Amino acid sequence: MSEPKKVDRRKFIYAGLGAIAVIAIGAAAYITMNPPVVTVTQSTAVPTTSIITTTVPTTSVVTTTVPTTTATTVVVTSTYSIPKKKITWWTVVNSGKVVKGQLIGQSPEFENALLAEFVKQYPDIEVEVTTIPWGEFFTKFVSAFEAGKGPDVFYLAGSYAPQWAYSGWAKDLEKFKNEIDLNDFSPTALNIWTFEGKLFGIPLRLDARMLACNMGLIKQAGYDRAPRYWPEEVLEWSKAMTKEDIGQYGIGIVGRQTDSLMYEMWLSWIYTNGGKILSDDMKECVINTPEAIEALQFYCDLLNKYKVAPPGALDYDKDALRTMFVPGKLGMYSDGKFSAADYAKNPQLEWAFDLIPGTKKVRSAQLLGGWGVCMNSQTKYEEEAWKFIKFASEPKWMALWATSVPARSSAVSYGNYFDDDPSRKTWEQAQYGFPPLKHPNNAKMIPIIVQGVAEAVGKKKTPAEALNWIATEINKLLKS
Amino acid sequence: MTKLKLYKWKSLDISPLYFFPSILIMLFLIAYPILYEFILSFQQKLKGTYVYVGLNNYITLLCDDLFWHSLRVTIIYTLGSISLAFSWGLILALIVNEKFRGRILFRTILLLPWASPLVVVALGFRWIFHERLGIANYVLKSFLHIDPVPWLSNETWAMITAIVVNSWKMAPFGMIMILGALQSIPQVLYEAADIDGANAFSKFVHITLPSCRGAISTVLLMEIIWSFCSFTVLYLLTEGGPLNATLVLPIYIYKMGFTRFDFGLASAASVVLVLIMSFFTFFYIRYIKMRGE
Amino acid sequence: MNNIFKKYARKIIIYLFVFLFSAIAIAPLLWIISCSLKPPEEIYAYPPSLLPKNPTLDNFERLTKIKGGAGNMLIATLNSLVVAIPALIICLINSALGGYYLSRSKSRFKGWLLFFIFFVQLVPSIVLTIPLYIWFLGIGLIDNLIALIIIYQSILVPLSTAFMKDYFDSIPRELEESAMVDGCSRLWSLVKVTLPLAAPGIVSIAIFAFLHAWEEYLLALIIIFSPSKRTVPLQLGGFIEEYTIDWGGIMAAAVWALIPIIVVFLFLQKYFIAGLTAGAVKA
Repeated sequence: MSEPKKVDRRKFIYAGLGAIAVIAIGAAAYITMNPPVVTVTQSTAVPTTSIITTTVPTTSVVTTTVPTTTATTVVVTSTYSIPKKKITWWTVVNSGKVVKGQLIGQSPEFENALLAEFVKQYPDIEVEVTTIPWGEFFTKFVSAFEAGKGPDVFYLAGSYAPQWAYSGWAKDLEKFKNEIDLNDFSPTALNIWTFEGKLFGIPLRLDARMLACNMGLIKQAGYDRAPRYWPEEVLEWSKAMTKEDIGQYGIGIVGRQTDSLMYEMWLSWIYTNGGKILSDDMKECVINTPEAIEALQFYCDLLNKYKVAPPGALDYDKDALRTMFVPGKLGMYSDGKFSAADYAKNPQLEWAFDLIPGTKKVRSAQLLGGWGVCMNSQTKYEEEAWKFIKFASEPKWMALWATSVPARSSAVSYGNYFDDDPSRKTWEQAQYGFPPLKHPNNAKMIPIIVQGVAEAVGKKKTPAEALNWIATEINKLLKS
Repeated sequence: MTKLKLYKWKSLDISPLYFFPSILIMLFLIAYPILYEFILSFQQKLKGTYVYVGLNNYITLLCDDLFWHSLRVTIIYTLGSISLAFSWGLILALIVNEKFRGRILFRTILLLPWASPLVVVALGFRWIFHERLGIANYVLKSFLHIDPVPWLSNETWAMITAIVVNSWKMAPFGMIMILGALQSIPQVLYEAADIDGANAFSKFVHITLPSCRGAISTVLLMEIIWSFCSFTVLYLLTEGGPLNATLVLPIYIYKMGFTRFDFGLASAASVVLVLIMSFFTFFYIRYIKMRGE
Repeated sequence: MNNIFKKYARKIIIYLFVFLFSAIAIAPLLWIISCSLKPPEEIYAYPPSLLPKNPTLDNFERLTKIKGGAGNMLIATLNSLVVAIPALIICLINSALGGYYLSRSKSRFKGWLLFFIFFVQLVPSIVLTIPLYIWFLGIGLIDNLIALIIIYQSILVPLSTAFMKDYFDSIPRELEESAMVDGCSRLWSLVKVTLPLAAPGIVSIAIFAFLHAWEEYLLALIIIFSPSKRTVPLQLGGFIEEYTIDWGGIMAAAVWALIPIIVVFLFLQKYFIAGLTAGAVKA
């Protein structure tokens, strides 16, 4: 009697649970196909105190969370009854040291200060900021944009500008750009963010790698300045500074197969020798010209033939080279101005920056980096996002954030940027700079180039073979 | 027929509801992503939106030299890791099985590698094997007068280093599992063998090993799975190795997705990886079951 | 005479191996500890010193200060605990129920379920990253530690269930059945009779789950955004910055990450081993 009932009930329960499971999964799929409109709240700040007046719309109050508590996001709220437009802003953080004087750099202090001012000027816009540490920046940005859920405004590294522009993630700012004084901006900087004639981001700063030199070792070798030309001077200087028995080497060669290999001296030498990666019409890869082969050959020879570079280059990137430079075991290598903070760890180190060596025809060349602020092409609040971008690119804010070389001249004077040598040299180097490859397939080309160069450094292919292989592969890509 | 079925349910058999929470979790957290990847593997991004391209990604994948290289690397890495880790674990288990003073202390020490967080292990060893500043080369040079070994910058050495690091971490797991099996072998068997005049080696092969068969198969299976799917350790240690020498499949997938922004291809590779693992596990378990009977 | 010699030789060989392998096991960890106590000049110095010449707690001190957006080791530890402990509790419940079912059930689907469990184990986390990211973004659980607690179940439950099954296999079912005959429901008998017997197994699963939740990196990287919510592995990775790798900080953070593990192990290793080994017999 009771048995059939029990069985029925059980079957019923199973069926019910199964249905729930199926519905739940279906809902999950539905949600991901049709993402909800609301942007994700990521703030954990304490609610603000607001001042309410009866007649006049009130000023909004900024709540900043002090770094000693856990949250570092800032939520700006006000007591307007008018619905506020909220935009999300993602930026990167890097140690947050006060770099010099009032310059704050990439830090929460900067965000708080900027937002405090922004809110005064635009009380009806709410900005929610998310700070991402540099190590995670890339993964998170890509994940977010792949998911179609990127922030409304964001600071972006110049090396990713092509990807963001060509894949349609960043919106072109053509209809807004005339609201700012483009003449104040460095043309080089603007060039990095211009694709097919359209500006996709407002540059905030220019970064250029330079030749970091251990002046102590150079003087010890009998010279009073850094080498200017390759191959002659570079080779001579490197040989003079190499003492294998004490583990000291003249120049640092990078062979680690990451994207940052593009910023190393081999590419500069190709360009100063008259070569380049893509032809002017961008339809063909011309990296395997004899001039380019000569440059790469010299780069590899320094390591493999003349042995003036630390072996183990295949594992090294500039950070690894820096760990040798700081204790004084390396004469020269390619690095950026920010490493000065690391150099300070060894008070005996006599360091200086100079231009990347070039040829008699072209003094120097360097692949440029930099940062800019962009707008998400899927943002719902274009006007508000633009207001923020315009605000962030004002000389004062650019100066506070940039700390290397700001992208506009008026910002330069604001922060006494050229008070120190590395900054001046960075600016000088930037004049010889060239922007990242402006091609939709940039992201696929760079790993190919990097692999080829690494294989040449690692003696798996000769430089000629490597460059020929790169050219073949890239030409395949260009044709597809 | 129906009556028998009813009886079966009514008996002391346990309701499948017990398994329900686990199934739910697995469906959401694993089945859904795999389904997603499966669907994505048939798509490609053209001018900013995803379109269906059929088997294009799979064809690209199978024609990609780097994929096959990666597969080869993964197999070498896995085989190397399990041979080293398993033999290491076996020896350790045999040793710790003996009675000696301080056994508990040493057992704890020997377990520490497995307990250490992956990130700690990867970064720590990266520093230890630093060619210029690492302690490994320093010790070699000062005490053994060997030239600095290019641990992480030479293709072959990088693979060896990766295998050593992976085995270092995995070996204690084998030690524990085999130790458990060893401790349950009745002493009588050995005594009987002694009476029959067996030597140590023969005792080992005919008594010890067969009794541990269950533990051994579990250990091997888990170590193979962990090695095949390992990402964090290798990525933090070599980032794919000098010239892709340690580019195991998970790292290949990561690079295809996050570096080349080709998520369609990455998904295709993910599907292939899961298929390989599934086939392998399926046949492995079947084989074990057959041997067991 | 010969026998005594053999016995001593055997003892010596055993001690030799034990010392050798223990040294191999612990040397890297000791080196990490040593490096964490060195001031920056010493870390980068060559030749490296085995023991710090000027030991300093500077590196550790830096860990507790907020480093810009990089968060703070204390908070990270708290976050890791907040994730690991609920995760292991949920995992225990799930795997106990699931393992119990797999052990006691006479269903013919059991084999399939076992395979399913293993299948789930096979999926590397890299495959899960983007889908889970989109999925949790849709639910609104991104940048939330609860998301991690849920997601970690996918790594923890499969293996735990398998172990629990083995462990329950070694507990005779007559015990529960006698309890059920006495009038207990099956669930109650599980709780009152079987679980207490399975205590070592439960402890070892708990430790196992804790270890894995503590060290998981990739999925945490995808889900967590705010520095205030980062877990310990993320914090460790955060020391690799654009312009500097803070090796001193990394080593200090590594030591910090290791300490809870070592403490847990020292106190609970007995149960851990007992739990794992009992199950292994039937595997």
